[in-house]
Amino acid sequence: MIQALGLVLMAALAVPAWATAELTDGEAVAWLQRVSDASRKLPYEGIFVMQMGDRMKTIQVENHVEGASSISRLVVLDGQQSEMRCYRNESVTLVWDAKGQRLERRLGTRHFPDLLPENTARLLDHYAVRLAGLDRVAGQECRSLELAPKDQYRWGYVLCADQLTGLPLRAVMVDGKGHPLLQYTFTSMRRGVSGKASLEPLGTTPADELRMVESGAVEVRFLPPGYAKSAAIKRKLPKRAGEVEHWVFSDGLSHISMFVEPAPKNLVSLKGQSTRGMMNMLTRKLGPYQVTVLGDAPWPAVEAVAKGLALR
Amino acid sequence: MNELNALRKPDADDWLSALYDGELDEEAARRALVRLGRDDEALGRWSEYSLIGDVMRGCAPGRADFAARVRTAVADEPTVLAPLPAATDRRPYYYAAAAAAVAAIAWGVLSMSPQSGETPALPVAANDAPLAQNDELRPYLAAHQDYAYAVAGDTEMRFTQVSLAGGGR
Repeated sequence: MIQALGLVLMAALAVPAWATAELTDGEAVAWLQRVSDASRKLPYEGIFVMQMGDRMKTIQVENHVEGASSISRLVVLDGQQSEMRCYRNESVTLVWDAKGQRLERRLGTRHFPDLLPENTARLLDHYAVRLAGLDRVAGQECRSLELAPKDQYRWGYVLCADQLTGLPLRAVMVDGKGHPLLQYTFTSMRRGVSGKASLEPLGTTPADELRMVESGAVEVRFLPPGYAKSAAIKRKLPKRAGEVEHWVFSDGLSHISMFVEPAPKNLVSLKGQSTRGMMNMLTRKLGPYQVTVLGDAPWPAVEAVAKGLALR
Repeated sequence: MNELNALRKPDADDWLSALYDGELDEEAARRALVRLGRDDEALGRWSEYSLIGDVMRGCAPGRADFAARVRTAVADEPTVLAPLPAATDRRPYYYAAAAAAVAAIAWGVLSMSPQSGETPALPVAANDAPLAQNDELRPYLAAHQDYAYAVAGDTEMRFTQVSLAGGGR
């Protein structure tokens, strides 16, 4: 009897009666906004695994919500010890290395499960949103949501959003054939945060300043549809003498960086690609500058940006 | 629930449920169908899945001889098997090629349209020899990932030398 019941349950799960359902724009925005809001406004804690190619990392995360803003703490559980704090507009990393502890300022403030932009309506122009079946992640029921790129300039995403809250329990970046490029999956997730309501500060903020760039030496004449500038700063990079301009362009999900610095002698143009093709990079000379364009975006996007550059 | 899961013998049945769900690619589906034709026990389970599915959908059963019919069909046509409805039907990416083609045309139009000043040179000639300059370029990757991901793994990159005509402008 129990076996028969098991088969019935299994068959019920196996029948793809709903398959995937195309959503109207209104429904799609409602779903995406629910996911985006949950990631920022819901207190939660848990452990997730990040897998990129054949590399894996395990991270403990807590999201503390204080009024309208949230502060999250991420602790990397394997490999080199490090801890991150992400506030609304800034984030810092505490790193343990041979010289002891040090605090570094980070440029980005987002992390899994908070991956969608605050305003999700902008995604609809460039991604087709579909609702797929129910699944189970970290012991919780979740609903699969697919964001398929409408052009060749971005990767797709498959999310599984907590049935109860909308919080993504799993997020997979996929290429045009649906092969996973980067995956995040909660192995445990609890709504609400146990223990102290707020986090003790990590110490004084780092001294290094990130200086904003208003207008750079290089003009970007082509950006793939939907991409817009999301950051432009001057920063020091390891193994580089002077400051480097760092621009970031994003469509809300995919990011492309551009680095501008004085060109060394005998610069050769290099094309770089990560093993699965997720990261693409092109270094070129433009007048007196070396320009490096790279991103977690398909090659056509990186190539088009790099080739559309001109001197101002 | 644990007891039920234990009864499922997941490893033994994975290929069967994948076939049932249409999740296998053409080659794997072909192999699975051949295996199904030779495995009486699996055929029995397949029959049960179908029966349960039909009952749940409210269709009349009356197909107790399903196993026998599949066996006969497989025996009659050992090499020619109709392709399954492709598993990719359930994925949203089958139109990606079409979209890419449209985008390629759009890029072609864009790059040919008159622009003020110099037009960026387009051809990229790739040199076959991969270069190991990960260390040199790692800071850029780290800086990019610093923005895009809170936590990033080391990314292995493969580099090739390319020549951009007019790149030294």
